Amino acid sequence: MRGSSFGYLVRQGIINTWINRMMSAASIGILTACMIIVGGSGLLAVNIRDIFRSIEEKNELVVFLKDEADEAAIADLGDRIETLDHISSYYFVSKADALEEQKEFMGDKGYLLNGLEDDNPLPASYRIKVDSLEHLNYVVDELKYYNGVETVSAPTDLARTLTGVEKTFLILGSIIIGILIVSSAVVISNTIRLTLYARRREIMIMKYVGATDSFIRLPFVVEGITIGVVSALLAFGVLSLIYESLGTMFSGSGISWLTGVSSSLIPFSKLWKAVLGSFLGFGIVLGAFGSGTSIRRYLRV
Amino acid sequence: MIEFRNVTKEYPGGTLALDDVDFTIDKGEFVFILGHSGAGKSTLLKLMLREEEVTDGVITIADYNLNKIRRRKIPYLRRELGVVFQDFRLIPTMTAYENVAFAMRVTNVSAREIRRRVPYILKLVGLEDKSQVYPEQLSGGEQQRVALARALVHNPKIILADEPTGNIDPKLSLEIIELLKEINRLGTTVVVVTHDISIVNRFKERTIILRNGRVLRDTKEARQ
Repeated sequence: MRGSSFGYLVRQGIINTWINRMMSAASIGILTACMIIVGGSGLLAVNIRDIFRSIEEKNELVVFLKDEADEAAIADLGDRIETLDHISSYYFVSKADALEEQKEFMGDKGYLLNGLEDDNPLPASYRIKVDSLEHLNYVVDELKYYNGVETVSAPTDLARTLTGVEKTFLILGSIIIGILIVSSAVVISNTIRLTLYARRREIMIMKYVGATDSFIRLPFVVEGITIGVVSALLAFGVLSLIYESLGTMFSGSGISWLTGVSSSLIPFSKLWKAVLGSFLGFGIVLGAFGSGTSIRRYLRV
Repeated sequence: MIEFRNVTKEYPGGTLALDDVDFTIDKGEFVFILGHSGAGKSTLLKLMLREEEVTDGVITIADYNLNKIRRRKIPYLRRELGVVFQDFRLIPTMTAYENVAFAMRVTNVSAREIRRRVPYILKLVGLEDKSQVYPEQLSGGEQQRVALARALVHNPKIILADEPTGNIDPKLSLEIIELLKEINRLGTTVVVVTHDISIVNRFKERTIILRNGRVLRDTKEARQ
């Protein structure tokens, strides 16, 4: 295709968007709203993942050993832990180490524990880090009934809740996003259909004078993409304002947990490229797809 | 140039629009296709433009076998055929110039070629003074000239005129046919489809008469 022809057809597409501005505005509005919701859920998801990850880094479980466990039993348990899946690191804390640790923890009151060395009440333990919260329960179950093990202490309830929340969030999020994508495509396709109707005379003439399908299609695809791009830019602007102002609102709220949340929010400067990129991609693909599907019927003849 | 070999067209539902139609139009001929409404004239045009496919028989136009033509190639067939309609089919929001230029713009012609060719064609149809006028400000005859200019702009091998005088008063109708004859003299094959027997009688040209989907008479064969 010639540059001048391409330029002409692109201009026609943009003119179409303007001539059909009521419907264009309506579909831009709906598409922008969809993008803000999808993008908002995306930002929420990213932040929740981030929080999860910081919790997951604390996914330590402690295997307390019975006092009567001898060295052989301790070594045996160590071997068992070594061969277990999903363990990222572990180390052994002897009774003496445990006492030292406790003393340190008590700071200047540590002297109170002096003299307990010979009758140490603190148990020896293995401190284990699991690679992911999901596998915490599995590791706990594997070690709980092992010889020489007194108890296993781990945040299993937290693990269960968090993994559950994450999964539900993922499923619900995908469903909502799916519905929004489909309805956006339908809205764009309807808008283009109105333009097609308004321009059916021109399309017919184009066909009689021997315009190829791609020439007839291009202005309408341009119209769809214009709607998509304008919506993407609008949604990006609105969402970045919301995100930034939520951050400042939280940090200035004086409510301690909200201030905590705001400090752990991922700064928008790290996210904007991904957000803008996915909005534009989403808008362009939906715009092209929406117009492509509605024009197909008009090209048959 | 145009060849119909035993062409039959039956629409879904059983309407037989054309029944064993057979004729050949050579390069440079001027032919009237005459018939009442319902005789099969519209179907004939639709088949030539490859809007419809034949049920039986073979159509060849400007070296394209329409039975075998690929969908992708249809636009190129149509560039060989300049079509003029009874209702002109101009775009009301465009000037006469723009209407003609439009046909070139949407078929990948360079801007330079458009600027060169459109005034030339408008002059050919006698509208050089009206190029910046919108269709509603033009008379029926003038609108038909714009439509004819648009049909000519690709330098087609064939001009197909579908009732070109149907919406024009009789005096101007003769002018349009004269113009078509002038174009024919320049080497373009011209086919005029009409129901207006007075026009046909006035110009002693080859006439194919259609009735109920069959060729009733072809004056060329009669002369032979």
